[in-house]
This record gives sequence, C-alpha cells and structure tokens, in this order.
Amino acid sequence: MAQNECQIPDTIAIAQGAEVTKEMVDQYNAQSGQMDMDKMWIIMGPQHPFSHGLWTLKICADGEIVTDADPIVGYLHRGWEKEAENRTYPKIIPMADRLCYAASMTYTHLFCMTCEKALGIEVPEKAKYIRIVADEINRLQSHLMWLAAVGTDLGNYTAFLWASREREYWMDMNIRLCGARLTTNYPRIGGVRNDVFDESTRFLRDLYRCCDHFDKSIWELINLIDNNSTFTSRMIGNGIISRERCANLGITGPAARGTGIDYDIRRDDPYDNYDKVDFEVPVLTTGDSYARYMVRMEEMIQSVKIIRQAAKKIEALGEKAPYRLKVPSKIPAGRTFCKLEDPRGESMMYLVSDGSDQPYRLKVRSPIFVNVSSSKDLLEGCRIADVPVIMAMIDMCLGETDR
Amino acid sequence: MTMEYLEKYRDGRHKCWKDLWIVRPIWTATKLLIRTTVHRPVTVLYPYEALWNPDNYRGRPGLDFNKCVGCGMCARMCPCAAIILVETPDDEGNPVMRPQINMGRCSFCAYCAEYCPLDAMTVTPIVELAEYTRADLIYGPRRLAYEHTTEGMKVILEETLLSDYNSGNGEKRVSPFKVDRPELDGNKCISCKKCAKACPVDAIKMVEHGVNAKGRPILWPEINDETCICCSNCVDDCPKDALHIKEVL
Amino acid sequence: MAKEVREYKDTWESEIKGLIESKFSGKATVSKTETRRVYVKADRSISFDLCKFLRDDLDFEHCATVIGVDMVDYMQVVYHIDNYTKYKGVVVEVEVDIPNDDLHIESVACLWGGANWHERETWELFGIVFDNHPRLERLLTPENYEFFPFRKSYKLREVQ
Repeated sequence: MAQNECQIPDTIAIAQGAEVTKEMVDQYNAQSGQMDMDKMWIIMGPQHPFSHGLWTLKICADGEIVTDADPIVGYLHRGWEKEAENRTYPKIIPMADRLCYAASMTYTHLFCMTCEKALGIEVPEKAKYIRIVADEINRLQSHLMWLAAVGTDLGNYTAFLWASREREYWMDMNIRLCGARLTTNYPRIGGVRNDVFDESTRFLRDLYRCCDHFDKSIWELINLIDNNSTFTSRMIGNGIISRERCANLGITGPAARGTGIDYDIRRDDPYDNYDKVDFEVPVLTTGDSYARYMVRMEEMIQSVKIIRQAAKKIEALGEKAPYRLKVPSKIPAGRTFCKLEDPRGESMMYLVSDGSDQPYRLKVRSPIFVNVSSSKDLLEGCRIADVPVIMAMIDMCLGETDR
Repeated sequence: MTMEYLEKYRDGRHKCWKDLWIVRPIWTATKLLIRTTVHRPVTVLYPYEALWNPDNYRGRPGLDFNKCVGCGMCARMCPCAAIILVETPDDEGNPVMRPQINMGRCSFCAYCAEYCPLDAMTVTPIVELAEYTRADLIYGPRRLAYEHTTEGMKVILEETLLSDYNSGNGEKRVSPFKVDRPELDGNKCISCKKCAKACPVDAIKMVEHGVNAKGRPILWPEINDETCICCSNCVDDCPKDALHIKEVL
Repeated sequence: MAKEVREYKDTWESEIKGLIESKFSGKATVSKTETRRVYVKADRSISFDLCKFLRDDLDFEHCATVIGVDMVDYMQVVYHIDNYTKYKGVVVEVEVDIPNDDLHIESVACLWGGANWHERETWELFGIVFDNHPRLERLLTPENYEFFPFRKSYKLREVQ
C-alpha cells in the first residue's frame, strides 16, 4: 500500500488561464502509474448486516480480489474468566450459559464435566444419557441457526425462515426439559437439574415426535438447497485451505472436517457415554465452503440418530434411577481440563482449584476464537463477494469469542 | 473413507425418477405448497393467541408470602445479585424480612426457586414485564405473589447421596436442606447467642455446658434437626466462625 | 503426503513419556499420565525445543491453547497440544514456570498458527511477553487500557 508523494498540478493557476504543457500532463500520468492506488482496506465495520455478532473484518482488496484480512474482536469482552474467580461453583453455571448463547448446554456441560473430574466423581448413567440428548438438541439448534444465517448471507431468505421454523420445534424441546428456550441452566455438578419423566411436560413423547418430523424436514431443506445451482455455485471452490495448513492454524470442528481432518472428540476422545451410542462422522476432503456446508448438514442427520438411541436408553433405565449426585462444595487443589465437541469446534476448560469453593483460574478455550484468527488464510485470493460466504461457513458466535 | 460416506448417503446418484434434472425440487416445493395452503399457518397471532407453555416454564420468580421465613437462601444463590431481603410488615403487622427482586438484573435462571428450602419461591409463566422506569422494575415482596401457582411450578431440588449411590441404593433421593446441618466447634464459641437470634425458624436453643472460669454459664447452641432448614444464617453471623455446615455425602 | 492414522493403544502414553524424558533429560519431566493425557513440566529454556520436537518428530500438529496462570510468586504458561494422526487423541500438557522479574518466553506462533491469538491474549491479560511473536498487540481490551486485568493484583470492584 505504498503512498508515494505526487506533485499536484497548480489547478488554480490553470483555471485562471495558465498554460497546460505537455510535460505537465506526461508527468502527472507517469506519477499516477507509480502510486499504488489499487489496494484498499475495506472495513466491514462493527455494525454490518453480514457479521453475526459484533466484530470487525478489515479486508485489503486489490480491485476485486482479497489479499489480506484482519479481524478485530473484543467488543463483547466481559472478563468472564476474571468474574468466575469471584463466584462459587454453582453460580458459574448460569454464567457459562451466556458464553455461547446459541448452544448453551454445551458450555455448562463442559464446566460440570471439568468440576466432576476435579472432584473425582462419575455421574450416574442416566445423567450421562440425558446430557447426550441435551447436547445433541443444542447442536441441532445451533446448526439450524447457522443455516438460517447462511440463508440470509447468500440471499436465500426462504431457507432462513424454514430453518428458523425447524429450530422452534427444538426450542420447544428445551422448554419441556428445563423451562427456558435459550439459556437453559440445566446441567449441574453431579448430574442434571431435573428428571425427564415428568408427566406434565411430556418430554420423551414429544422428543420422538420431533425427531420424526425433523427427519422429513431436513431432507426438504437439503433437496431444495443442494439442487439450487445459484446457491451452491457460490459455495463451491472458494475458501480452499489445505489439510496441513488447517491443522496448523488450529481450526477445529466442522470447518476442519470439511478439509479432511478426521477427528471428532465424541468418537476419538469420548466423554460421558458417547462411546455407547452409534453414529458416523462425516468427513470430506475438498476443503472449500461447500464441503463445510455439507458436513454440517450431515451432522444434523447424525444428531437425530444419536438422540433416538440415547432416549431409548433413558427409558430403559426408568424413572427411579438417580440423575443428580450431591457433591461437596469445595473442590480439592489441583489442575484439570476437559474437552468437548461444541457445534463449532473443540472447546476446552482448564480449571486451577485451590481447595476453596471458588476457582483460582478458569480458562475457556473457544473454537471460534481460533477459527476467526485464521481468516487471512481463508480469504486470500477470493473475491469480495465471496467474503460473506466463507465467513458464514465459520459460524461466528461472539459470546464465546470474546468471553 | 470420505468417498464411502458420500456413496452411502448422498452423492447425486440416481435413485428414482424424481432425481432426473429438477424434478425433485419441484416435487418437494409442490408438496410444501399444498401442505401450507391446506394447513393453518405456523404464525401465532400473539397477543391475541398465545403458545401453550408447560408448568415448568421459567418466567419471573413468584413468592408465597406466608410460606417464606426470610432465610435469605435465594439472595445467597442469585448469580446476578438481584435479590435483597427487606423489612416489610406481614399480615398481622409485625415486621419480617422478605425478598425483593430487581427484575432488571434477574437472569431468569430459577436458582432462587431451586434453592428455596420451603418451596416458597416458584417460577411463574409471566414474561411481560415491561415498565417505563427502572424503579418500577423492582418487585417488592407483595408484588411478587402469583395466585395461580400450581405444584408443577415449584422447582424441586433432590439429590442422591454419594454413599447411597456407591452402596447400590441409588434410588433414594434426599433434599440437601434436610441432611446438611451446622456443626459447632466448641473451643471457639463465646456464647454471644447471635446464632439463636439469626435463625429464621428458631431452631437453635442455647444449652448450658458447664461453668467457665468467672462462674458464668457456658452456653452452646444446639440445633433442632427437624426444624432446621440449613440456610447457613447462623454460620454467617457467628463472630468467631465457630459454626460450619457439615455436608453429608 | 497423508500421515498415517493409528488406532489407540495403551502403550502410547508411556512411549511418549520415554521419548520426551530421554531427549530432554533433566529439564522436562512427565509428572503423570492418564488415558490419552500426558502431563509434562518443562523448563523455560527448552520450552521451544520441546514444542518443536513434539511437532516435527511426534506429529503433534494442533496447538489447542496457550494459557497464562498467575500464581502470585511466579507465573506459568501452559500449552495443550493435540494429535490427529500418529497418536490419535492424545493431549500433551506442557507447564512452564516463569519468574516474576523476567516475564519472557519464546513464542511458538511460528510452529503452530493456532497459538498466535492465544499468545496475544495472554500478553494483554497477564503481561507475559512472547519473544519473536509476529504481532503482539491488544486484542480483546480497548486501546487505552494501562494495566493487565487478569493478574491477581488487579482487584475487581465489589458488588455493594
């Protein structure tokens, strides 16, 4: 972006009648060829209809081709980790809900798993299966919201409304389970908050009905989007990144599985009875935005399979089985960390405890924090019109990026 | 491995006549057109109609004034510091401590309802809480009442003890407020009787345990197991930290 | 080009422990191992070499986090490094102590791009300087902050 000095001709004198010589004209033309006026930093500023959440993306564009990118985050930084040091462990659970507000049960589940590992306690079987069901419902909600956002970014407003309608059914499941749609406050240290067999909420019956309905509606969405070449041609072929570069940059989750990294924490490093349910992990090697899109759609289909299996196992365990253990309020000194497959990638919590009832240091690793930092590699060489497509496939959720 | 996945599930292979050219999207779209024309729309005309919510729906917290004893457990557990105890006259005119909730700070997490030992705090389905000024958002104890409280609106807190779970008796569930009790360290007690004054249910009796060097009786608190609700008010008020909650696991 | 992916075996943790302790004897000790977890305590002088060894020889290609911990007498930097291929699913945790009067450590951002923003965040919140980091600037806090918020010496305001 070289800004060279240039001699501006004396336009006032020319307007008053001074003579324009050929040398002046030639000099001016030669200078404008030297000045690098083609590269421009465009700021997709904090308030922008394409950015889902409050963050800035600065793009350096050479004409139409993007050469550099610089994301700026931090508008929503609430000092979560510092605040958590002043609160007792049960009080951190509603705070963890607000980390990723789209899929809130995953972060509370992660926090409870970390505390239980620090205490050395294993939760009852029924609680593990209920947590699996809750996680997968949240994964479906999050992916459907992603699909709605992709619809708006790419101009497919019908997909936005249909995906939102399907998401409403899964939010109804959240209400039956714990009483709230979005920030659920459901997992507890030692299990879950309440049982699922309550007759007035009819959770299990409606869960099967929701799964059956969703099996049909997801195929409607897939058929209408995949056969729409104006939609898919915007996704195919851009944002390509190689597998080694992807692993090096720390990209995890569906974005990494679209580039060929065959790693899913639920299958390769299982926690909480995920090794007892049967599911497949979709992996594609193409590496472009279309691959990431397809990975997420397939994940939704697999999630429904997992929910059905886990719900059958909960029914088999019955109503009397324990779902919540009484845990001590003080956690012994030590360090623990736990990983979990968030809908957006690999999230991790690292707890340093000092024997009191408040944590000494609690660190949250959010997947989007790292995925966004790699936007320079993803956006290099694409056109400006491809920028919202590629960034939509990363699925930003600002709550967990900035914490 | 990826090719197997695609071949097994979806790779544009031809399954039936609907996969020719654009027949499948037109088929799907026509089915949906007919379905949405025949069925009623998905939109709920709020505020004329409302969606049905089950009993456990977490709207604003609700309080049963007469069941509440002013123990302050809700104020202790609120993660947003939205609840404080205020002095207010009860039905006979005596001043009692009851919770006052600032709805502007409330995060609707229902911890107050979950950790209320007597189930006086419940959840209610009220979500229309708009006001014109922030001062109007502070709900006093009388305003928190909700007449149509049902059994399903109480948030029951029941846990399984680790000892029961490990010994195979996992089906037994207890409420932690009925098992955890404060325990006294006799060396630190100075018989100031602050714990007896702080107890909201009068479960502490000062019992004589001998005579000290000056001839005055040494009074130690004795906690009544049946009426104690484990609110830890006595633990907080003791000036010498002689009481601590003994957790039964 | 594709690296070989192996199935999980119980002997992996002790194998990694043996390789690390034999190469960096004395300066890196493995404090304990669990299934798919290896916990290493390393000296500051060899932290970069240890990370390079993990990446090049043992194929640990994903740096999950770089965490700063403020133990009041000294500071610590903790790395978590994952493996996708050769030891699939194993996480190595490397803990490095840093004295309070010399808060410098070698940056691993050139080895793993994923550590870039984590190191920036650790600098801005704790004050630990990562030498040779390509761009050590403020990320989450505004530009006019003059202190390091997550240190224990910075107290939050009390709630009434």
